[in-house]
Amino acid sequence: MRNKLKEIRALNAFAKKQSVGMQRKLMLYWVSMILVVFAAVILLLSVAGAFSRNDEQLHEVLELHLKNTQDNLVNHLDRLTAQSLHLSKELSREVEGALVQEGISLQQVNDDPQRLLKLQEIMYPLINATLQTANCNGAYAILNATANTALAVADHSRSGIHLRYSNLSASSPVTPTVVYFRGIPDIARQKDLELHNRWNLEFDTDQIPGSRELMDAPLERPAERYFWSHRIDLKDTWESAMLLCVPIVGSDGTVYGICGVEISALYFQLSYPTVEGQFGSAVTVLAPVQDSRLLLSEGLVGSVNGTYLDGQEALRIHQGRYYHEYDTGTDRYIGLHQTIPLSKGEAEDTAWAVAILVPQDSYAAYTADVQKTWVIAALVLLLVLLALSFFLARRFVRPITDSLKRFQQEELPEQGLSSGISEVDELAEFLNARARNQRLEQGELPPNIAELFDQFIARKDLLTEAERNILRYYMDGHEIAEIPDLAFISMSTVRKHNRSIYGKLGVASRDELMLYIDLLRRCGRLQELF
Amino acid sequence: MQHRKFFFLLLVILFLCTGCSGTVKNEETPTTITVWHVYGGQADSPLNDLIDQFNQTVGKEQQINVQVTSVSNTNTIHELVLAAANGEPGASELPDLFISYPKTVMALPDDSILVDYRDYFSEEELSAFLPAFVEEGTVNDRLVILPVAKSTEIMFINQTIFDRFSQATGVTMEDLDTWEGLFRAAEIYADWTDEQTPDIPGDAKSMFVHDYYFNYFQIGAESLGEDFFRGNKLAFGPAFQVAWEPLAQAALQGGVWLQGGYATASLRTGDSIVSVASSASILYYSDVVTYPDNTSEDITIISRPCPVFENGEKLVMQRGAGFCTVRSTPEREQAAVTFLKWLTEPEHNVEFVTRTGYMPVTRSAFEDELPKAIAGLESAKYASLYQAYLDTQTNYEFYVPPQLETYLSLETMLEDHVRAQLALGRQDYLDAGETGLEQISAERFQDFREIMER
Repeated sequence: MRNKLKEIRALNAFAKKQSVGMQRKLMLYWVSMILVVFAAVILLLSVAGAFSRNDEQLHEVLELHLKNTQDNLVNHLDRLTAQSLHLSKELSREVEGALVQEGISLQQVNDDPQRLLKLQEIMYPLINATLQTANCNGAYAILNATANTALAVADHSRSGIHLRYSNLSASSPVTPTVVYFRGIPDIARQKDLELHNRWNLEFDTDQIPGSRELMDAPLERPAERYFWSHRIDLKDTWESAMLLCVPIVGSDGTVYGICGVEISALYFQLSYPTVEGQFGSAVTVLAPVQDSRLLLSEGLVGSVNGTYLDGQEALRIHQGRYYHEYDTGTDRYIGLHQTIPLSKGEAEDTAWAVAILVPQDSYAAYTADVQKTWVIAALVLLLVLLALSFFLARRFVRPITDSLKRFQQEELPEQGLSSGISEVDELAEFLNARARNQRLEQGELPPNIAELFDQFIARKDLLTEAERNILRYYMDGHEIAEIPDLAFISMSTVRKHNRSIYGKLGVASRDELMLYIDLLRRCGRLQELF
Repeated sequence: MQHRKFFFLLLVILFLCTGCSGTVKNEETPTTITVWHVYGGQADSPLNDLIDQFNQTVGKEQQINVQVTSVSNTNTIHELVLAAANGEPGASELPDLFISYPKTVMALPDDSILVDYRDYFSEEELSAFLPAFVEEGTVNDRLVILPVAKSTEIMFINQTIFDRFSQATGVTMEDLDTWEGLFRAAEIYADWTDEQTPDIPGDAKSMFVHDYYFNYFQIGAESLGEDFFRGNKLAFGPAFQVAWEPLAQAALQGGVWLQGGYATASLRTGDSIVSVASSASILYYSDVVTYPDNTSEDITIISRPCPVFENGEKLVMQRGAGFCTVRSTPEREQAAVTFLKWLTEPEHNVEFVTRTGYMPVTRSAFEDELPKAIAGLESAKYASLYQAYLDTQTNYEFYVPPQLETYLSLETMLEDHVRAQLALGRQDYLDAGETGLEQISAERFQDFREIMER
């Protein structure tokens, strides 16, 4: 490990020694800055909760949905309870009236099919009215009496009527067909009702746990004690249902039997369709909670479109901050639940809960989508920033490299030609000045002065022979006054030539001319004028 | 210039990325299709079991979830479909799949709401079906009803009680092979049961119940070589009269069950012991009879081919509705067809039909799978049914009812009025002190005919 560290250090030192391009170095700085800022932004966003917003959003949606569903369902069940209590009172009144008229007790109806038929004839219209007016798919009443006490099944066989709708469909509440599930068939024939394919004369009270206890203990009022059964399979049919069991209480406190309504799994499924949302399909569930498990097999499940729930699962509940997880063993659902009171006066009170379940897969797909968007956006942003840093670094370095190129081609920039960067200009000027000094040290003329001389020398070709003669006298140190004698010409001719010489050589006076001559002499270039 | 291009490219990529992530399509959500069917009624539905099996296997693989939203009978479905198709207030939304006879399709205002299966099945796939069944499902040159199971009419007998009756009176099961013999037996049965309670007069029990008197008269007339229909009405030829008389006489004497409802109900309560009904009703026959005093008796139900008239051909009704698929989105239609293809695969088809009392619809199911399935039947009731089926197939000709627009209304009307008139006749006969049998029968026939021809 230490060796490796050493190696890395050595490599780093070597890299440092290596000369790195300015642009690359600049980009490296940019990139590290961008990465730091980027990391800071991500950190800030996650601290601010931008990435857990899905969970929060889901929580809000679930909570709202749960609240609505709960209100709806509680309201629905309350109404059914109220209607069943009403049915119980009416039945109690009618049955008691009939018994009083005959001067018998309910016990004496046992083993008497004719009297049972009479009682059922009285009960039928009330049960039928409840079925027609309540939001349910079945209504029933059971009398604590049986047609034949001699039978082996007599202790759990009880006479009564159970009416059910047979052709339930999602949205056709207008003309459901009533079938006769339990009861004396004569009534079905009188009322032109079809016997259920799995009709039976009497109820098997073993199929409705708790019903016997309810019938056996005297009560004051029906509202004192009632309950919803767990979901029970209707024997020999493909349907299962929950039954509301309300006691039919006589004026002396005797319980004549039980009555209530039925909500079948199918009816519940049709009444509570799935709600399609951005997080997936939300399924409504009414089920008991036991040992932190949601027992769908004992409760009712709304429409399961978009999920693979089959209503038989026991879901293990894992509590979470924003939502709970419900595990079937093979599939996972997420959602929320809330317990509601369903029964009253029951010894072992089951905790019933309304739950909203969304398949975890669809939520995961949703969050994965959101994450994908984040990742893509972040990557694109990073890419853009990198491109920008590349572009800026290049732009920044370009004048420098350009200047460098010019230096390399020895095109020293003229004074005042700006590169756009003061440091570069200064560097250029500095380099210029240094180059100039070097040349002066080597006796070289500054180039502009040399050029001036060159031009001056070049112009001498414009002079005539006579003018050249006169120029030579000047170069030899003669004054103007000496020229007429030396050259055998008049003074006025000398003046004329002088004007011409000044004009051609581009000087204004004899002093300037003499300055040039002096300078050329000093530079050793005087002979070039000859 | 180059920079600008570079930036433009980056921007395009950026927009493309956001564009892609904007279309959130959840791949995990299965396509849910809804079904209205008739297989199982209120009893355990074998088709529902098969649907579960489909959902757990192929459905899971292909993300299809089939949901049964109604198990009913064809007449109810007929009403619901028509109400939905006509957009009547309060009508249900049509499901993706429903069971239907051609009569329902013919009554639709517009049959283009249904999928033509030729769009989804290749010629080769369709040739696997028995051609007559495909023919039956074709309406207006479009294959809109896919056959999944076919039934015929079968005679079911409560053998336990019949044996008691037979021992007491000498009537044999072979007597039931003809309608004439069957109704004679019904008269004897009425007398026999009436005699068992000498203190209560007129409490004769019915021996026989027919699920569809419309079929009785239709097959009767046709087997006697006469057209049952004339145009959109009933022909009421002499053969109709031939069919009426033995039925009416037995009915007036109390030997025939005349209440509404299915035959299974009166067999369940012991109010009758012999029925003629669709083979598919096997599912609804209980092995127990429950009497008014809550005592019950275990019984054996056996099946025999449908009776025929002494002078008639051996003709029997072929029945069996099929699945219609409602036009929706290509995914849903494809999902529905995937399910139907699965259901009509010989293996699944035979499993389905042998549990519901039907016959399969494809050649290979008939030839390869059905004999194996029949040999493996554990239930004596079903074994007896399929024996009767095989006898029927060997000895009878199958009759397919014509596609008439008035078929359903004629059927409903005849069912109601035949029972009502015979019940009135029974009352008249009792009131007249059990005399004037033939006259009452003739009067009731006259009344019945007048009502039907109105």
